[in-house]
Amino acid sequence: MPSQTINGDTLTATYSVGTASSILISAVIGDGQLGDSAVWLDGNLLTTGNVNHFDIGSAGDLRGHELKFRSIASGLNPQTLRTCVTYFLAGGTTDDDYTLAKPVASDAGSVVYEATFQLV
Amino acid sequence: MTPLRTLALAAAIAVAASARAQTAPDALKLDDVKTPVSPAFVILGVAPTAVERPTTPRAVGLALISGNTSSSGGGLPRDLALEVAPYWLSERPALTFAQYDHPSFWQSLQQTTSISVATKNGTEVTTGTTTTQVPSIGGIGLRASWTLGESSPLEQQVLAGYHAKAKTFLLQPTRPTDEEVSAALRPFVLAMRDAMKQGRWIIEAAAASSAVFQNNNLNQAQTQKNAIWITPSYRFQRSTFDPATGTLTQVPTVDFVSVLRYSDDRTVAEDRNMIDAGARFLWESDTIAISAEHIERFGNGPHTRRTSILGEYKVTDNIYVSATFGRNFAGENPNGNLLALFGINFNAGRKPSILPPAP
Repeated sequence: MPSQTINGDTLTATYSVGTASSILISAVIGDGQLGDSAVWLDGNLLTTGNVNHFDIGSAGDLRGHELKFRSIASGLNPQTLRTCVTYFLAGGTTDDDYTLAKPVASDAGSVVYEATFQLV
Repeated sequence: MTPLRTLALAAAIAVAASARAQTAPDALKLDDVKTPVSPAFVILGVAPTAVERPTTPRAVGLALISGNTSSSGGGLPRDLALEVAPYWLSERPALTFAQYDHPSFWQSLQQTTSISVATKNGTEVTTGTTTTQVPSIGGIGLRASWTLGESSPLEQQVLAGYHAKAKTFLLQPTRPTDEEVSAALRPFVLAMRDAMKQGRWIIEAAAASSAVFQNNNLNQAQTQKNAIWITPSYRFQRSTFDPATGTLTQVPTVDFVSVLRYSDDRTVAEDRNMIDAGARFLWESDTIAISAEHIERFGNGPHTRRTSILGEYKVTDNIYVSATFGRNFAGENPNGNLLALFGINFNAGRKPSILPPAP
């Protein structure tokens, strides 16, 4: 399924983990901008920094739980005011990705993004 | 007022109005408000320097320059340049900071390529009782650059400071607002921009062509000059980073810039091909920049040289003025080899005005 782009800084969605032995997640800050992310599972911190193909566990362990991302994208790139973050979830029934996009309000500003996934 | 000058004035007013509408929480430096001299301006011979430092092209930039050869104009700039960086006119969600900061050769070409057009407006010149019409000249240019080398220790320090600061907001129990995160991280972001330019070589290549339009008629266009040049430059690492405040020490920057340029000048009957080789040293603070340059010209004509001093001053966050004085190449100007240019540049700030749709 989906590859979706959303003009905004907040996302709530579901992700079908299927029967995967491992679910991999990534958070990519785009447009050449600077940024970092943090990831929680049911409120427990999993990782921070550059989240790239991070293994969060098997489908059996994850089903019924809540996965939450928080990212910060800062307007380092002087060529554009745009910022965006793409959240990738792979290994489940489908590989999904969601891009959230929002311009910084002023030069060298930052945007806070949050995405929450119910794992089913 | 000719239609072209009317267009130039309208564009300048629009850009200035756009700039006023933008939020500017921090004082901008001279380097931030300058619209880089585009290749199209260089080929027309109205750029204040012949050895321009490689710069980051904005998505859209506009420059107006007034030369001392203008016989009329009432103070209104006669020359207009517009530069566009096509890559940044659309979203780039897959481009990470690492790819942007250390691009492959191909990626670097994409993200730095810009196209410029410029005009040098025609005018009437009166000598005694004779009035002659000087035709308008148009130029088109292309440039791209490649940054070489690893991140400097300074850049790595600033990056580590940014990550540490960002982490405090990422782990905050409640979601922080954009405003509070922006206020805390902005010094680190601005420091990072400066640090990325220090201690690394930037190689810029450019090409440009100009044509003369007799009677302001497109059907009577004739190619005038063609040129291609390469500009290696290096900014010395002079700043130090304070992780507590996220700022760099504010010391004037020092750049070394060199140029190698081949030109084909079809405005002369002989000695049409020439090679320029030269260098420029540039000292720049937040509001003032002073540089000296020297260029040797070779080719199938007489060996000649240009030596000049350029000063630039930031008047406001959106306007800067420049002045060039020195000795020009022999034969460049029929009135002598004195080089004296005064320019005023309007800019839409350090960011382009083209934005994605509001969420």
